[in-house]
Amino acid sequence: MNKSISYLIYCLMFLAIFYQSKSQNFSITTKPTNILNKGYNIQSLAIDSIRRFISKDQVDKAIEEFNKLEIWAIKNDDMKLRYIITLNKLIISHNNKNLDSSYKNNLISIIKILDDNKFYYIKAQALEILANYYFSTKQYASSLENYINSYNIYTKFSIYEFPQKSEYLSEIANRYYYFRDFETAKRYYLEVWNSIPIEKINSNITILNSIGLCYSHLNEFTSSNYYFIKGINIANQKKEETWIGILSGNLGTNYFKENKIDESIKYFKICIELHTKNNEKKDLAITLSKYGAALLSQNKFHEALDAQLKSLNIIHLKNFNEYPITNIVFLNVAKAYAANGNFVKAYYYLDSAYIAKYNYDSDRNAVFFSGVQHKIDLEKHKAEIRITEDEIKQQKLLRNLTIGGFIVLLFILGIFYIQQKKYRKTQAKLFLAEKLAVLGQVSAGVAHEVNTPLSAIKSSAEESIIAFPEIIDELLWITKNLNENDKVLLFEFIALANPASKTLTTKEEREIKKRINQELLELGIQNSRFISEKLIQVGIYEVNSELIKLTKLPKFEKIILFVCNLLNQQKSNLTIQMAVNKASRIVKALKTYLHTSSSEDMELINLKDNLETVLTIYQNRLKQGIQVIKNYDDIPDIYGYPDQLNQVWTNLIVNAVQAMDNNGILTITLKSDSGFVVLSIKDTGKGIPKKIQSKIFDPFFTTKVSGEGSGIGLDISKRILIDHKATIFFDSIENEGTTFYVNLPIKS
Amino acid sequence: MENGVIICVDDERVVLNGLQSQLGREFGNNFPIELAESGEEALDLANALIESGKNIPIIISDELMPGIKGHELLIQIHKISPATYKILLTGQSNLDAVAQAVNLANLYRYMSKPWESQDLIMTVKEGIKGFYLDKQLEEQRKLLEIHSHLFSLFK
Repeated sequence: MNKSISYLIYCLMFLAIFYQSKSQNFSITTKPTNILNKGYNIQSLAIDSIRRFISKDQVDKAIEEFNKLEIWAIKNDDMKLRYIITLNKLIISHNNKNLDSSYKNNLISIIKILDDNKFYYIKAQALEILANYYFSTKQYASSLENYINSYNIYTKFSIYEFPQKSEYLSEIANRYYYFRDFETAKRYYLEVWNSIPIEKINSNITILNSIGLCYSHLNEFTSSNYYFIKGINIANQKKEETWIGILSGNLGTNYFKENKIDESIKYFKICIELHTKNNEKKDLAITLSKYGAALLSQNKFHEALDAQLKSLNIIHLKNFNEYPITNIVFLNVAKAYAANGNFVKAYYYLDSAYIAKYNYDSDRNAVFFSGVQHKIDLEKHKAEIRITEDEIKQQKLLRNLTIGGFIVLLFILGIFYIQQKKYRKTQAKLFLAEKLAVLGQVSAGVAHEVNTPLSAIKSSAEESIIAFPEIIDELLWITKNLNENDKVLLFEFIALANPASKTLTTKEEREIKKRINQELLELGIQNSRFISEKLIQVGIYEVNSELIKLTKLPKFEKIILFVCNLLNQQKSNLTIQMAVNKASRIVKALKTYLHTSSSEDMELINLKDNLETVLTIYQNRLKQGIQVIKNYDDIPDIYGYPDQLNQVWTNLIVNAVQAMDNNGILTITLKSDSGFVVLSIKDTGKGIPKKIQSKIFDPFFTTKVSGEGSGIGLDISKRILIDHKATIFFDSIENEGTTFYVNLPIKS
Repeated sequence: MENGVIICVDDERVVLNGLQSQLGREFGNNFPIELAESGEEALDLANALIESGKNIPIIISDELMPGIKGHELLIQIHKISPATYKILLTGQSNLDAVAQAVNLANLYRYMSKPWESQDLIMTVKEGIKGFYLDKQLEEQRKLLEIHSHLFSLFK
């Protein structure tokens, strides 16, 4: 049976190839003439192959011809034809051998290639062959699945390309029927029935019979009877007696099931008559047995037993030991014997019936389970597809989420980074702004501090310039009018005078001036006040013997003014030097203060110098009423950012000075204490009220009048000190003062 | 013109030296140049001078000094010697200080550091001239008063 199905399929396949080539204008007649001349024609080739295939003796010859065709296909780069040939060769080469798994694997790989190349039609054919393979190896579920797959592909082609549609459908239906899935089988049969052209209806009694059987199995006897009777009518027209017999038998069985015994007996009789006439022994045996059962239910015991024995006779004669038949017949025989009182026989056949029934059931169950298995497989497959789809969806979702998340993360990181950068920039700006703000407060003094020495330099230089020609004139006069002794006396006096010998306060100078003026007056010097003033100016603080000698000279006033003029040159230069030192000290401090370290690394800092910078810049402010006491111990240099620390000291000192209202004592202490340098800045100001002590490090907290302080000085100071791993804290007593302590680690 | 004293006030000795040289050359012959390093010292000095019958035609003061600020000093001087021509010579000063000096001390000039020597000399010269003209005017007004008083007696 398997083989016959295979042959059928091959036929169908080659038919399909024929139709395909026709529909796609792929006709060998339009191909190179040499092939035509040699008589290569796909259709004839196919038929030839099948013949040789069937005859089995000329397989090699068939393969040879396929090889020839394949060469042609290669030459013409006809991939489709090549695959067809490959497929055929595969089938033929396996013909003599058992169909094994290598055959299956080859088929599957070819199907894969066909699918990749989108040769769907050939793929459908290959699937069909695969389905047959599965069927022949009793893998019914896989067979059906491939059949359906194949069918699904075929249906995408036109009726011309797929003329065997109804055969296909009925084949599928047969499979389902075989699996006892009558509902599905019925559906496919009905589809076949509906797809059959009207002119062909008459030749399809078998479909009607199948539909009827399906309905019957589904206990829908009205529908079942309808199709059976329809079939009988057509069979009557066609005089298909065998079919009339079969259909009558089935109809009778229906009536029997419906307990319409008279009618069932009537149809069974027709069936028996026709089967007897046409020698359909197997069907006759079953029908006789069923007929007997019907008679039995009418209590016609003898007739019933007679019919059963006839049936049994046929089975024994023809050796129909098939369970589907025997399990029915034996049971009926047993029942008939029992009804006739022959219990020994009855038991014997009952036993045989049970065995047959058992075997029949196990066979049927095997197939049934195979069907169930198929359904499970199908559902599993669907579920797998769903799961795969879900998984893909999930993966997609996950991937999208991941990508989305990643993008969001990147975005957030970007924002964070920008914010951080902004924050750092802002912080740096804030630091600088605060630094400049504090500088602004002290810069009033700074301008003054720079302008003061500048003005001193200017006036002294101008004085020197004006004095110089005067001195030349006076020198000329002296060389002309003074004798050698007087000249020596004069220059000795000039040489001994030291304008920079000591610096006295203006008050002291005034006292000395008074005394000199008095002494000069006593010496009878005219214009003594002016002369004494000049002497003081150049640092001559006493009337010594040389001066007294000089006073005796004629034109003493002229001479002494020359001396003062000359010495004042030196005094001016010294003044300039002092002023330059002062100015450069301030400028240097400013530079140090404003310098923002470009390097990220800390550097070694001498805290004393660091503090001195601040004090120099702040000097002007401090001198207006603040006494600064410096208690500096010897302390090691520490690592830090000098410009930032400057800012901290400035803040603390400015705050202290403001707390003291520019009047008080500022004590700065530096000492080292177990790995730390402790710097304290103590003021004698009004102190920090208890209630605001906790807030002073908060940004924008200020007690100063708006515009005087930003309120971020201590906040920034604290941040700078945190960068230095330093701590800051304070003691404050109201109306007594505040002390800020900063603990800087020596090794940072 | 006798009995006039010029006072210079600055906490920076270098500035005082410069002033002393420049003013001394120009006016030293006729006017003693007195220096003071603080407002307090300057006030003491001014009081002492006035007590001893001296005039103070010109006082030049810095603004920013420890203790008494320049404008405060000038206000004090104005109280004891209103006729004195007061000059504020400073490197930096806020407007308030100058305004106070103008309003309360009849400030003659505000000069900024560093100054032009010519400017300073001229300013001081004009100040001295003004001071003595004022003084002369005052004396003549007093004379006129006496005259009119005598004249009224005759009438």
